[in-house]
Amino acid sequence: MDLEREKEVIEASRTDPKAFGEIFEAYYPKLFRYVAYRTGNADAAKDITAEAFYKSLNKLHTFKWAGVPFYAWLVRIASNEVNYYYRKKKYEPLLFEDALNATGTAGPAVSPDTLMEIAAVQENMDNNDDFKDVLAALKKLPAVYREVIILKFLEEYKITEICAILGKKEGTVKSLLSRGTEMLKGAFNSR
Amino acid sequence: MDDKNLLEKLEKAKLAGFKLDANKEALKVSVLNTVAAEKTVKKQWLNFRFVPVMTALAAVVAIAVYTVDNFDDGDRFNRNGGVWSTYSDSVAGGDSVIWPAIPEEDPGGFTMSSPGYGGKGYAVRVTGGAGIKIGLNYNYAGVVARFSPESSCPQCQGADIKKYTGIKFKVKGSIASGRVYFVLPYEDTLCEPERMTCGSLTDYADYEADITKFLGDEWTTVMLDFKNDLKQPDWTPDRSRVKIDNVLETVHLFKWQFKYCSGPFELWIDDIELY
Repeated sequence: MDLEREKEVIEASRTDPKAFGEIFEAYYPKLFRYVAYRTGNADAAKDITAEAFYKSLNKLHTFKWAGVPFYAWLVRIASNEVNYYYRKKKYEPLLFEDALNATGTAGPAVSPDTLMEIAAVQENMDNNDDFKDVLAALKKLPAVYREVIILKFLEEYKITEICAILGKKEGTVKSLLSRGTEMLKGAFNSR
Repeated sequence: MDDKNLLEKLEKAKLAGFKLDANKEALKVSVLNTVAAEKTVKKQWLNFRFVPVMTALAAVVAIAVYTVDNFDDGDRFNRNGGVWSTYSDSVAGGDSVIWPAIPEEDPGGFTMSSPGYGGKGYAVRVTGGAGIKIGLNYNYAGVVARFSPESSCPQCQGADIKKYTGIKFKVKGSIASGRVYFVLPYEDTLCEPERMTCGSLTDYADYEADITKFLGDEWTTVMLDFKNDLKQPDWTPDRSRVKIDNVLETVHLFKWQFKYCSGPFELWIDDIELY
């Protein structure tokens, strides 16, 4: 989706939430994978992604269009939720669940397909020893370094795109990357 | 491990082949229906309010009172569990001082004072001195009550208080010069992880009311109607102008702030209610 189209979709979604479906189509798998990289837990990734999508649509009136992909805002929301997940050592999509209860709306349908997809993601992560090694090393770093390393080296974003996602200047992102990779090497070497 | 090995390791750690179509579809349907249902409930509520026969019921709703904090327990949390704390320009190079100390200097050190209104219980008391090192128009100090634990980082979750007409509280105190304001900040629902704060959506040009005239030796009740008594400052840039309804839908905290001050100040606050 190009930026112009995305802006139209966001504007339409402010009054008609159904229009937000296009955002799901464009960003759901990407956001899920980003959260999976951050947590290494497919169930948590599913719940955090759900909360991030709900929160972004529910709080759309606070979103200001700044000419950068909406995905940047989704990552920021998800990132906050990931930090919460690490602080609490567990995760529940509280806002989304409250909204489901308040409106009497059905939660995401559970089917053999949905369960198998999540199990397959977890298996994918569990079978990748390099991923497990990297995640274990990343967990020794402060969250801000973890985030920038995942975006750059695992998600393969350009520096300018990371700047937009994190709302930081180029110099800051480069500096975080430089220090982060040194810290990551240190984390591996200390094992 | 050197750079080359690290890059190879990261390359091999990439996850591929995620198939999530069923989960995407299930979540999409649920989220879109939920938010659509929330909007419908809000619209119905607005329509409902304009039905004349329901005016009496609306009046009953309007007079409902919610106690934010009466300080009887003497702890540093309000009724919702939101924490009280002070702030000052000392974190920005200023020389204002405030007691109880700001969290950066004494985390968890906020203490309540006694006696509160009516000679019983506790109340918030802050005292100190406004310095002018960073300029009379830029110095600041004050006290803040987060609305709930979730209103702080990392959740930054606001509360909808639109059904209340305003806020009332009791105050007493004095300032050598300058003004004291009640401030209703408009904060982001996102946490800025580096600063561990929920970002300002108004560039700090928040709705506020000057309450200086209520300060004195005796306790005085301040009643502020959100829609009539609170205004954004004259210097608010266009990009930061927001409707008060939007602010009331996502309230994170209340502030009492000393502005344009130099010299000593003292402020007591008790019995805070939404009415």
